[in-house]
Amino acid sequence: MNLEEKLSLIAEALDIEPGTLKPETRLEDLQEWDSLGMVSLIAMLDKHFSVRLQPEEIRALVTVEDILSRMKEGSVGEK
Amino acid sequence: MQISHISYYLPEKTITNEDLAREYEPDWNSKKIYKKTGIQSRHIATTETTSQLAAQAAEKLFSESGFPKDKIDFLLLCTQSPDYFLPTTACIVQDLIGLPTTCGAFDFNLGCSGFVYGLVIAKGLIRGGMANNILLLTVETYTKHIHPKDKSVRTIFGDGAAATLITHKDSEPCKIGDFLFGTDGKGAKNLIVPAGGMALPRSEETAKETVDEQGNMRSLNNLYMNGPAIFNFTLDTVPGTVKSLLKRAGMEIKDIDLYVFHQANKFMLESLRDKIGIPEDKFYINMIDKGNTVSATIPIALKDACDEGRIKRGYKLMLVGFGVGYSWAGCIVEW
Repeated sequence: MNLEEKLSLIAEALDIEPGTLKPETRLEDLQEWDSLGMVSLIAMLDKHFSVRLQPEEIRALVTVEDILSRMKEGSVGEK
Repeated sequence: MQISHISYYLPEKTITNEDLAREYEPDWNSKKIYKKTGIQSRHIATTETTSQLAAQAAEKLFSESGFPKDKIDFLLLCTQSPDYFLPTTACIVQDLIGLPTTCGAFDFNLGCSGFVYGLVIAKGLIRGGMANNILLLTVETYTKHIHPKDKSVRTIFGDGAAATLITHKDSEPCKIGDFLFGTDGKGAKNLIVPAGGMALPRSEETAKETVDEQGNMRSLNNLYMNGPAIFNFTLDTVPGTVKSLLKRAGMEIKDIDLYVFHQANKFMLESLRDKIGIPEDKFYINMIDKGNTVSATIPIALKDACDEGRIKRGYKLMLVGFGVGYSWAGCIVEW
């Protein structure tokens, strides 16, 4: 999966216009970064990458790049 | 034994997504709320108490079913919003609806898993030869715990009461089948009203309001829900519960005619359905005009599904409740 596809998955999870996210985008600047957005992100990462983010890991996310770094294909589920 | 009848009562006042969007704009809009939660409106108990909601649901059940009140020998009431710490709300309801004084009655404190636990208590009473006709009331008014400026929970929860009649005749087969339970108190802090009980009585201090990182306001007297933590819990717990319950019953996913889970929110339910691999047409979601009524969601969903023709006589159903506690329970029933 390339960068554009991953950004697209994140945008879809957060219900954001595709193409507007960049790796350096700060999550706190996104109106959609709320509890519903976080839950959507957990679901997306679980479904596509078998990665489960715990609440403290979500709180530690600062930029879209932080999310991208968790989107590694073939991840051994970090549950 | 079987589930003979279900009725439910929802308080009159409703709050729609448009009402909420007006309060929360420009951050949230009504379409977004619906898209994520599957909820368009929810009912709110204003002055009505739990006992009054319960009584309304019970009276509706007796009226719709024609079942005589004097044949009820046990009353179970599940709530986390009792009228008082004491006396038991079930005792108050016994009097309100005029059940015989020979009836046993007690409350039990559970939320989302409450209905399934209620079924197992009923099964135990019947199997033990201690009751034949049980009225199970699952009643909740979470909105009374919620701060008006807490978007995270105000969009999700609604109030309501369901009355379920569980009856037994020796000549009839047992249609309430295998059960599975689970408890993990490590999750207690993730869905909680911190103050007001014995652990932390209400005070000026507990009433102080704070605003979280998402801009939601609440005090320790209000409901707090860690949405991401709860979501993780359901993804961790529910798929395994479904699979274990099927194995216990010697069944496969395809053998269940309809899965009726606790109606938490649409996004969570669809994530679970997808993860477990249940076909869409065998998975019931309907909370559009009720919201999450906690222990009442499953019986309300069963009643609606029946009225819509989604459940027919003889159908095998799997009911799974999961949430606050953490507590979870699943069972298989034949309709």
